Amino acid sequence: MIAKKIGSNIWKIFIFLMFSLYAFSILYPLAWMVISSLKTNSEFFTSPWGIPAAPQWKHYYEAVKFGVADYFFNSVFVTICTVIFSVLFSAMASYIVSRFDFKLKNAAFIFILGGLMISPEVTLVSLFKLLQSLHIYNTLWALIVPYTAFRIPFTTFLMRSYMLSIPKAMEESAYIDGCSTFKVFTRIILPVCKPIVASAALLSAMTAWNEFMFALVFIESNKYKTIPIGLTNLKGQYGTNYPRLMAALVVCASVMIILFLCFQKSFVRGLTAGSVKG
Amino acid sequence: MKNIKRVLAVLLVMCMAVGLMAGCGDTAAPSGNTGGTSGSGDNSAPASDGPINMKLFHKFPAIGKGLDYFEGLADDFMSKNPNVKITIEAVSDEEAKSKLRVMMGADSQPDVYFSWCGEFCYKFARAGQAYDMTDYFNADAEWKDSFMPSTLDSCTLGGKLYGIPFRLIGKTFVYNKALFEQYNAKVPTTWAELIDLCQMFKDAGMEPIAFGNLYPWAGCHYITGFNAGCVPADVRQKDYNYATGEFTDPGYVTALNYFKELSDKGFFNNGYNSMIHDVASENFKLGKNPLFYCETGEYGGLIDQGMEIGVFPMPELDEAGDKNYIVGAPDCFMISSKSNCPETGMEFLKLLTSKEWMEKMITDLDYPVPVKGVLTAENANAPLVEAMQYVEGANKLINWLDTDVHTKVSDAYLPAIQEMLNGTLTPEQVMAKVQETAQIVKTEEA
Amino acid sequence: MKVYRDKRIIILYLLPVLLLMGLFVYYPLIQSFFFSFYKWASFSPVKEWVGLYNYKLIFSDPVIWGILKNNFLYAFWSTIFQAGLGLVFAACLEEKFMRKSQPFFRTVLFTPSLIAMSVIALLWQFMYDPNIGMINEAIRAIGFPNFNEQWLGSSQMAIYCCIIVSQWQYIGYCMMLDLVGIQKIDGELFEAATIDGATRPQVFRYITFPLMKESLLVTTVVTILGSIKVFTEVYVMTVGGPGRSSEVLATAMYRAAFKNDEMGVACAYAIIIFIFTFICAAIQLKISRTGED
Repeated sequence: MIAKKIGSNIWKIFIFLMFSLYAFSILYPLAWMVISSLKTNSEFFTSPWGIPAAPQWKHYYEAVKFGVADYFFNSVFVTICTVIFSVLFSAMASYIVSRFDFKLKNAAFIFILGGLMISPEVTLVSLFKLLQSLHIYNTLWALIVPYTAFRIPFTTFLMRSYMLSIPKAMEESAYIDGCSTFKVFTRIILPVCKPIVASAALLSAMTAWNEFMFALVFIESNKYKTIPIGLTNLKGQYGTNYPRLMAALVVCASVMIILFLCFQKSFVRGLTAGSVKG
Repeated sequence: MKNIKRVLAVLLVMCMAVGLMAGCGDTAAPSGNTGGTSGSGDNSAPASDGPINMKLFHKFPAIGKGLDYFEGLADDFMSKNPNVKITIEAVSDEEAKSKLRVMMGADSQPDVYFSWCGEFCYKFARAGQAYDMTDYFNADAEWKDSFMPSTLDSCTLGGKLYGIPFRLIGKTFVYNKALFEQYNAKVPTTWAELIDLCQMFKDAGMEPIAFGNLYPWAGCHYITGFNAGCVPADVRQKDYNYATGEFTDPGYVTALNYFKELSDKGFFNNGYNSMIHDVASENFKLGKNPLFYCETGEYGGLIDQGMEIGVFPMPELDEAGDKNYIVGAPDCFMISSKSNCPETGMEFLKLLTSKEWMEKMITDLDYPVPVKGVLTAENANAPLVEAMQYVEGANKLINWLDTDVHTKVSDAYLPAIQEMLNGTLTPEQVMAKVQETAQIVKTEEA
Repeated sequence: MKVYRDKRIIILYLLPVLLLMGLFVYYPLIQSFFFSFYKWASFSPVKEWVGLYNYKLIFSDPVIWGILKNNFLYAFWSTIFQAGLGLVFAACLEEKFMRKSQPFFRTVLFTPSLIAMSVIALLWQFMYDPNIGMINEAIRAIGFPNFNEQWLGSSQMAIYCCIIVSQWQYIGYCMMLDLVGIQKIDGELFEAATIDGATRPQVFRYITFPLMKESLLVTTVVTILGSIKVFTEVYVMTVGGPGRSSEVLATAMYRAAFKNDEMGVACAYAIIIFIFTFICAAIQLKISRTGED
């Protein structure tokens, strides 16, 4: 018994150490990115793993001024719209494919899922022409609409499997009480799905915030560009100020990380416990 | 029923929101959209009185540098031509190629667009996407004569001019003067001297040449020169033309062997196949390597912290190819054949290549220019002046291999060079691959 | 229940998704399919019908086998690490002794997936640098002063370097998806099992794993599809090189479309990608038909 206990303790310590090591392997490069952003360009290359002699805070100022500031609103707007549309539409669709009965149900689900298999790069030229004929090329909607369309398959996939695991009892009793589908959907389904909605929203936000290729091709005016494209302003054709680029990358990445830290609360453990037990 | 109405209402509101915002976007950028619907709209009006919307596409988006330069140029042009409205799109070097192709494919060509010279430019010309500038250009003899003649050749296909060169890039070695002094080194003039020089630095514990070949165009620039030196000019010209390319001349293998010699003797820095050219340039700046093979446009960045550099061209090879040449090429602007205002575009390019703006390109951007007599010791940095002497003294300017041959050939050539440096392919195997691809291209294009 | 068969509601709720996907995902795909039978450059007005030539061209080049092998390696290791190890990690974090530190590890492990791949790839390019990169420096520091692996510059290692970066980024992501699922499992089940004397691995094997099948399906499908479509990390870090040694399907497609001006070949690659992903997804769905009812 005691031996077993010791054994299990060693096991616990081992797991904890593994996690710590892994966490270190993640934090170290990220910390390196932050530290590097404060170096001068020559420090960056001569002592890549050292500490900067005099922190170059001006890199952040320059990065924000030249690469981020003008594009911030566009990125935020595109991200928010993409999240709202993709999550809402996907939730509606998942509700149908997880609950309702109809002949083409599997076909509909496969149709949606099929989108997972298509890489956005494939559709680039066709989409470009399509957006032009719809007259939304070179507007923020040229990004929001395709982003939403390409986010739907995965989001639906995610939500469907979550909804399947929710017992029907609660909504059925609501229906018996005379509730409309709309009410059941907004008052019961969505609240119960909160954790998965939060994950899905976060994942959509990540894609929309970080996407590069569509943003490059579907936008031409400077005033509609998003941050990932703005960052390329910091790369010269000859010679790049790497610390300044790193600073811009840090700014760009930290927006998502902060968002995540705020959001995280909503899918923290035990959230579902209050609503329905699985 | 009620719930259906509600959902419908929500959907409707969203659709309207989308429509409205799209509309707003459109109206908010009336000028930015002209190119998008080229062929229709107000710029089909005769150029005399009506407003002319012209779209310019370039690849110099760096703030404080290229972006500002072209904005200033556009403003200048618009103040001189009040009826013209120029919208500019700038994307970076790597993205320019794909973006340009997508725009061409979707009929939203910019009126005036950046292009590399040689095959890259000819491709657009052959596809009927390029405006024939010949007549307009020849009409102004003074303008025509201001260019160095050789720079116009690489924008000319079948006797017709398709591009106006605006900057001239040459490739030379640069060296760290302080290190040369310290080791009492002399500038090499022959291949043997270059080898001895490198060996001397290597024996002193240094990696002699800074080289970053992660993106294989860097290695390709060496081969561009070696091919010119090892393969007779007429053979090379025949091979670089996709319709007659064979690449069977033994000179190509010799050229690769010259490159291999530098690598095998350990004259390049460690890890060059996983290093970006930029990083190699930083290493040179830090004095880690005494030599660096780079473009004239890069000098400005190398000396911005007071480093003293000298310039010498790649030594001549004692082989069957050309003598007295410099690797390099101009970059040009082209005008779309679908443009509604090609004359305005030409006027714009005339302003760009005017003495005033060419001088500004030298002082602000440190780029050498293809216009004669503009670059002087006053307005240009010292190494640039030195390099331009070599460029102007050369019999021939050798265009970059990767933009001079058919893209598919270069796409087989460049990665194969990388593999040769890694030791996974021999020079003969590299050329076998190239020959095979050239054969495919020949049958495909026939 | 009758409401579950209401056609109007079904149509209404599915409409936005079907419309958006039909127009912006499938229509371009179908166009690509047709275009894969033509020889055309994106800037050229002429499209020449060549039938299956583009496909023949792809499969007559020995490079394709290297490409497929790379994609296979990607899928293989991604499934093991992201889908498999991700679930194990999630289960470990749900252990009692990890509860306290769970928020920390959960957050840290998830962080990389929040950052754009292009940023990560740039970062790792420096990690892998043979001269100043952390990896070589660390190995030299622990007693191998002459260690000099080329990593991204080596034809053999390059693809594994890319795979490692993907795992680094996405294990936490899959773990997070699994974590949401595990937290939905009734805690009493675990308690009952523990009281009955089940060991931790047994609990995982007989409770967590079966109940997590649906979630595992999600992560497996996503990782495999992701590996077939993988683009950014390879493109930014190696551009498919050195030579073509780390080329994958998507980079080959991009190369054909935007370097070689062979839009037809690019479309053919796109269709090949689609076929592979379709087969994989179909197999996955067939194998695990849990949760259908």
